[in-house]
Order: sequence, then structure tokens, then C-alpha cells
Amino acid sequence: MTPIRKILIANRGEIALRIMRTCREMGIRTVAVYSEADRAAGHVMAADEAICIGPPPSRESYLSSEKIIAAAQRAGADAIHPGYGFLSENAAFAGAVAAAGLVFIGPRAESIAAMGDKTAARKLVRAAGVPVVPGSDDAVRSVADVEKFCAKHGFPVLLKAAAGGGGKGMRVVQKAGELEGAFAGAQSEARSAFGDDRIYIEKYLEGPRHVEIQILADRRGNTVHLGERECTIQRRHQKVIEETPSVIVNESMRAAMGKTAVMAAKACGYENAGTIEFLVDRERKFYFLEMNTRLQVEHPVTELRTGLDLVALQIRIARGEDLPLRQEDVVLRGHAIECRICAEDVENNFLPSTGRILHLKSPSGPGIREDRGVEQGGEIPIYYDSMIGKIAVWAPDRPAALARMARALREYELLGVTTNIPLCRFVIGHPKFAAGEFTTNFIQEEFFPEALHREDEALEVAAAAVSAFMASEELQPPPGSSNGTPPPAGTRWRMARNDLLREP
Amino acid sequence: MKTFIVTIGGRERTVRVEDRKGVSVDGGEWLEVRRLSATEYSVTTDGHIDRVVAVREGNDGVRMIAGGTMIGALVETERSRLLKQYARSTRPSASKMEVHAPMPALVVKLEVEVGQSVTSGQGLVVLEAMKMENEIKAHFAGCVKSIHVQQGKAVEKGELLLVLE
Repeated sequence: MTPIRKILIANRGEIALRIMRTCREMGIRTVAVYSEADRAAGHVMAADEAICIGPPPSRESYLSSEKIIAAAQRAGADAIHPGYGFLSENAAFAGAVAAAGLVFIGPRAESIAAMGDKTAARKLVRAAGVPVVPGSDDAVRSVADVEKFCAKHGFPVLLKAAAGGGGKGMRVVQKAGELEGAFAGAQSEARSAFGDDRIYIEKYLEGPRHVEIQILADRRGNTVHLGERECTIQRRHQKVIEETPSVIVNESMRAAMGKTAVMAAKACGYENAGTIEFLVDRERKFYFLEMNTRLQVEHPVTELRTGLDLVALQIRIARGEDLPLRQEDVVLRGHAIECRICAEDVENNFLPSTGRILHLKSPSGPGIREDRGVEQGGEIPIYYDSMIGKIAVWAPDRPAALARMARALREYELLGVTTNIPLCRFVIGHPKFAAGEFTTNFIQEEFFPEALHREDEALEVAAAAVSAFMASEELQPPPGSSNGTPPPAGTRWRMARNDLLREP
Repeated sequence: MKTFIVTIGGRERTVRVEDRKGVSVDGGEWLEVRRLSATEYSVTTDGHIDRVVAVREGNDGVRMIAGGTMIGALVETERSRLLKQYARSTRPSASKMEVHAPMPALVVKLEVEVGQSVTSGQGLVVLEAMKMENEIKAHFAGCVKSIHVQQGKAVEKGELLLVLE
């Protein structure tokens, strides 16, 4: 057993906070790292210690392996938790952490490398008997290589970054004319996101669903799966809404996918928490897509359905403990849904929205969990991902969970930056979503900004009244008035009744 | 008494605000509007109270949430309207030729040079915000007259990127 008393969290935003919360519950001290853009960020305030690691661009701060390891050593941390994104799937970083005598809370560097190179991963799991989507065995070097593949397999195809995931450096190509631009765009985005511009091709399955399996493995190779997460609702290959269970997965399919996921994990000698992503076609056949060798954004839905704390289990595995549960101990209960709340303008081509949060009131009440890294008054900077936080709900069954999520989204008030909350409400309230009939093209096919406009005369009258009231207050500020600010300095509380004063 | 023209969802409403009576929309009943905090308001009619949260957006915009719905409004007075119309009529038509940043971002690539002719739909500048690249394209064919940004620099929303002619 390796004792872990202090963990440096090499991340920012909601995931850094989420990890710190478990650390606090386990009595483990936390160290935050932050860029100059995040000096006042939530994760900095929540940590026991905080160390500035450089200027705002990720490359000079959150992606700087040297600076992060130096910070961990300076703070006397025993371990580093990478969160998701940034350096979480960087094998060289995991190796450097171990070489520095620190515990990397995640898989071994070799497993990350084996799964991180998407083309090598496909070969590896295929050899272990896991089904994969048809694609190029190796990275392609030029547009000519892509043309060759398309001549054989036909369009549409998907260009993907060999080094990455999360939709970065990914392009769907419908016809030959789009190839050159798509290839250059994918390369450039991959270079900027992963520092590696190798691209490979996959046959693009039409109307697929995206279902993934969460696994946990300890150092001795004990591996369990925690059921699936349905992640089909995406936009530009970025997940928006996730849920568990999936409406298309029944008991036997879950067992088959779980077994396959465990096989894939064992193929790379996996340790710690990981996720195997599958594409599921119309016949409910599933194909290995990739393995994410880290904690996922959407892990809360699995936590809600299993009652487990995945971060606590990650830490226990990292310090050398055996898995505290066997497959038959995993209990799956009820239904959980998560919406990612992102700063983007869904009515304006999903342009990112940045700025200061001027008003924020989160949903609460039965069955609701919120993970968020920024408070009212906080800034959404341009340098990082647009996700502000996540809302997850649990209920005994899917209809109850949908009603609960609709209620949560209705309660969620955020002003100052534009968010995708209206889009989330649109999907959650859509009859096809409720019926479980959707593919990865759902948003693209069903959503149009005009669909958000509902006419509600009473609300519009109230809104018009408030708008005019605000404008009239601005025209003529009432004397000595507050607008919510405290009384001017110099004002002191006084005892209201002198007869209450007594001689000592 | 002050009178405002409030536009919501393309529909104009005349709103009167009077110190003692309250607020009346399109000549309807008087509503009591109260400010509860810096961003929260209540609107009271007979036996019914609506909660509205609101922040200013730009010079004459208000962004609100009421009943879980996002509502955007434009608030004008007769005077501010006339001023705007006047400004519009005197603004040089060349402004159509200006290309502005639709969001705060980093300029990752300039795809054109001064003097270069471009076709409609051709990429001009690649901006990156929140790890996503967005290519700004020409809305019409023309020639690049001037470039006002540099590669690698950050731009604010609405900042002038380049001018076509």
C-alpha cells in the first residue's frame, strides 16, 4: 500500500472541484494548480493549497507536465489526479509522474499509450476478440491515402485524430470534394488539442448510437463493469446529454457489452477507472470505438445508479487496494440522466459565449446533483472548454427521471453568458427522446432555434414590465438608493432603545 | 411618467412607468414591480406574483428568465429611437464591408493578405475559442482592403478583423 495524504489536481473547473470533494471526505489534503486566467476560479478557492503554473493558454499551464510535477513536489503531494482532458490521457505525463516518485491516479503509462494511439488500440482489442468499426489500420499521411480508403469503402467516412478523443480533430466527410478541407481542418485541430496531427479514417456508420461501459480494475487485474451509459445525444461529436440505463440495452446485451469491455481493458493490462466506448448500429450490434483511459465527464450518472464514488475508488486502487467489490456485488438501481451545461449560443450557430456570470441560481430538491466550477461573479475565459458544469438527476424510472430533469432545467437560472440550457430543455421535452428513438444525428435533425420560441403572453408582459422598470431606474436613480448595494460607508447601526442600555 | 417601447420576439409593446401607480403594459392594469436583489424582480398583479431575473445586455437590451424561459428584450424611448435612426442614416455604407469578430477569440490563422481578391464563402480568418476553431468567411466577393488583427492575438467580440471592398 502506498499512503496518499495529499493530492495535486492537475485540472480546473467542475472536475477539479469534484475530485477535491471526495478528497475532503477521505481526509486527504488537496493542491490546486491554476493559470493566470483562473486566479479567482472555484477550484483554486476550494483547495487546501494553490499554485500558479503560468499564463492562460493551456499549453503554457494546464498542459505543462514539467510545471505540474514541479508544483506537486513543491507542495509535497504524494499523488496527482489528472481529471479529464488536459494531460489525463498523456502517457508521457503519467510516466513522468511515476518517475518523479509520485502516484498517478489512473492507469499505467503503457496502458494509456496502448489505448491512446487509436489505431494501435483498434489492432490490440481486435486481436483480443473485440469487434471494431471498419477503418484504416494505421494513420494516413495524405489526402491521397484517404482517397484510396474511400475508393474501397465508399463515403461517408470519419477523419479522427489518432492521438485523441472528445471530438477534437474529427470531421465527417460526405463526398470527395470536402476531403481536402476536412483533412487540413482535422490536422490543425488535432495539433492544437493534442500536439499530434496524425489522422486515421473510419467508415462512418449512419444513424448509430453511442453507448459506453464503465469499468474498474485493480492492480491485480480484478476487473468489473458498472453498466452502460447512453451518450448518443451529441453535437459535433461532443456529448450533451447522457443517461443510464440505455433504452436499447437489455439485460443480456448489457452482460455481453460488459464482458467485451472487460476483455478490452484486460487486453492493455488496465488498472483504475476506464471507459470503453461502443457504436451500436440499427441491429443493436456493437463495435469498439475507443477506450478512454480516465474518469469521464459523465461519470455522475454511473455514480447515481450504482451508489459508488468513482473518485474514491480511483484513489483506493491507486494506493494499491484490491477492488472492494466483485461483479455480482454491483447493484444497478433506477435511472440517471445528465445534461452538460455549456457556455454557447444555441440560437447563434452554437458560438462560444464568454464573460462574467451575473446571475446564477442552481436547481435543487429531490434527486438532483450539480457539479459546477464557477460561481456567480465568476468568469468564463476563452482559453478553455465551454462546459460550465453538469446537472444530473436520479429517479426510480426513466419517465420520472425525464420529468425531474425538466424541472431541474426550469429552475436553473444563469445570466451573463449564454448557455445551452434551452437546447437541453428542448431535447428532454422532445417526444422522440422520451420514446427512446434517437441517433447521434438527433440534434442536427430535430433542433432549430425557432423551436425554442414559445409564446406566453403573461410572461412577456411581466418581462416587458421589468425591462421598462429597469430602464426607468437607470434614467433617474432615486436619491440614496441602493440598487442592492450596502448603505454608504459611515452609516452605523445604533441601539434602537436607549432604555435597553444598562450600567455594567 | 416615463414611456418606453419594449420589443420582445418582434412584438412592440408600449410600457408606462409611473412612480406611484407602477407599470402598465399596452394600457393594461397597473403592475407592481419590485427589485429584490441586483438581478431579481417580482411583478405583482391581483393575486399573482411572477419572478423575473434580468440583466442588461449592451446599450438597450435586457436578457431575462421568467417561468424558466429565456426572454430577450430591446428597450427604447421615442428619443433613443430617433437618435438611432439618425445614426443609421449617416453611417458610411462601407460598414457593410467590415468583418467583425462574432465572439471573443484567439486569431489562429489569417488566410488572406491585403490586396487579395476573395470569392463569396472563402475563408478569411480562423478564430479559436474554447478549443473550437471557427472560420470566418466572406459574405460576398471582393478584395481585402485592410487587415486589423495579428495572428496569435486575442480579439474581443465585435472587434474589427478586416475590411473588404
